[in-house]
Amino acid sequence: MDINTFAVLVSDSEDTLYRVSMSMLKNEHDAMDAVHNAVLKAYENLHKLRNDEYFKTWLTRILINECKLEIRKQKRYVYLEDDTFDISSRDNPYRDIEIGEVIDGLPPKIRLVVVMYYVEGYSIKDIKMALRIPEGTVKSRLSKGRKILKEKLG
Amino acid sequence: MNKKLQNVFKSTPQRFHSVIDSAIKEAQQNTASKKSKRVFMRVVIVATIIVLLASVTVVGTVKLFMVEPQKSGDYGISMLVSKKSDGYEYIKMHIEIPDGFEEVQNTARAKYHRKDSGEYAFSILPMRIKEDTKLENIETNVKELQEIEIASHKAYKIIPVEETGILRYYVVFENVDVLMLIYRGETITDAEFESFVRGINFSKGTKEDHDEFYELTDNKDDNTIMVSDKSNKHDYVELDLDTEVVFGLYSELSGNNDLRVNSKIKDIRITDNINDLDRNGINSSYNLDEIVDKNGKLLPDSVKIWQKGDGVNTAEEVIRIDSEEQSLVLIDMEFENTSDEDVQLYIPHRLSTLKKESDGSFVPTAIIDKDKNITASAYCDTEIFYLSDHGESEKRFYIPVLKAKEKKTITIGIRCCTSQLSNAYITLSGVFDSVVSPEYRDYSDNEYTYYIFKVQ
Repeated sequence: MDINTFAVLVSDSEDTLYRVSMSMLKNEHDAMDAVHNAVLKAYENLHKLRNDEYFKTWLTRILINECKLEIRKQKRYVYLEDDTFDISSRDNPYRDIEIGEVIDGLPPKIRLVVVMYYVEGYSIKDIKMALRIPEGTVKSRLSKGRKILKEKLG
Repeated sequence: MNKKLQNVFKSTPQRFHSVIDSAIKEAQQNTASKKSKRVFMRVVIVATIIVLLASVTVVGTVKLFMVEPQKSGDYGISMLVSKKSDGYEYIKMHIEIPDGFEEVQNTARAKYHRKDSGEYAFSILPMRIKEDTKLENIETNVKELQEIEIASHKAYKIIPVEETGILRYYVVFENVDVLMLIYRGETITDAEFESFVRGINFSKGTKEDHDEFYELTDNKDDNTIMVSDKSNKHDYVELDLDTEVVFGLYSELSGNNDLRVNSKIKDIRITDNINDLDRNGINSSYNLDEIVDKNGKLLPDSVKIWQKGDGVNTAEEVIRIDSEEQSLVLIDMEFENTSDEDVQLYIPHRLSTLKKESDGSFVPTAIIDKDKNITASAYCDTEIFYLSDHGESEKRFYIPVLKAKEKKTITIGIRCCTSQLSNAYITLSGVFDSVVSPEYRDYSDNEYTYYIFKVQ
């Protein structure tokens, strides 16, 4: 895959990269860093992608790993942003603040699966591949997420 | 609920598009030096401590940087916020960017390019190294170091074995005990380079400066601010050699969720000579002249024994290099595509050397002394050396497409130290292609089950 094809495929995935990273990190600055690093890593590791058809899932998986690294880093350092983050701030990625608050309130692992499934339209198999978790786990997290969302959103 | 959630996110902001554009451009710029950079990350393990720079504020053309502790691999640490007996040491780096250049935005590293053309100009990597570390050993592709002076600093130009187009220098900032690795783009003149280096200055920082940005967590057990990358726990489950493993695959083309490939180890052979192998099946990334003699016998290879540093006051160092006889483990693996569709299967098989603990758990033999942080480099290659049947593309080394209902036995060859064969296990992880049988265990997103099969 040459750089031009790569650029096109990445551009096609931009919205997904934004939403997945924001749902995990809740902070635009960190999300941008994670996306930036994920794109660079993806290009450096293109030779490891054996089937171009999986590009988007593969790139999303790299992004998720980058977000996890960021989260791990955050656990070690207290960022001022943690105290100032507000759902109504610029970093809020949601159109509907009420629904956004409910999504943000989901446990992180459940939130990611819910966003990938309902917002991004990934299949259960895609999520399984991207998160490297068994299908049953994807389903159970979705089920838990659905339950919480139904309780809160009606 | 679907509809409610599908449109819950705002449109992706323009600034996000810019980040992605910038990353693609950077990837493009890096293409030429990609190989050397990948190697560099490996070499960082040897002796250096690296940092990630985060920009804090801009005052005119002077850019102030706060140095942020950042991991790299499983050892990386910042030393610019270094642990001393009386606490952390805070150092600030100031860079005055010469006219005509600007920072490449949204990069994790400090990189600069020409304002007008966007041509790559410089990037910098500050490090602090142990006193007796040989500078020649930090980077790869180093023929020799030429001592020079740049902007009144003692410096070394790296003379490479193989030209890559990008020049590299070490510049010593003695007042803060910082060694700066600087990459210089092809079109940069001596005067521009001198001007750039002259613009780099360090000063003492304060805790208050740092607190503007973040606070270090108060973790007394971890006062070296070292961050381990080994949060991925592996659970090793030993299986009998004749256990059938079933992979579950998904076809994006048909949407079929139930593609299945069964695999089983049929035979394991060990050899120290490659003459009987089909040369077409040998991974071209291996230089045969370096690993076999004229009779095809595998040559010994070196295994480095490392003493890990504390990441702050001590660096990693090689304490011993052992010469180890090599063997090739040949695994005949039968794959059967039981689906009605063709499938591609990533090769998830590798070799690991493990020792069984009294509680039944497995620990890599490369961990020689956990308490003293002494480890060995891998005893078995992480690359597959031989595949009797592999994909059509020369650049990709994988099992070819398995046709619907096709059954095929493929020999996988991996090089391993002969002395470790009794500890060698074929490992199988659920990476990408998930294992559906035996039942795959879920611990968390970062913990994986490895199924292992004893080689001997």
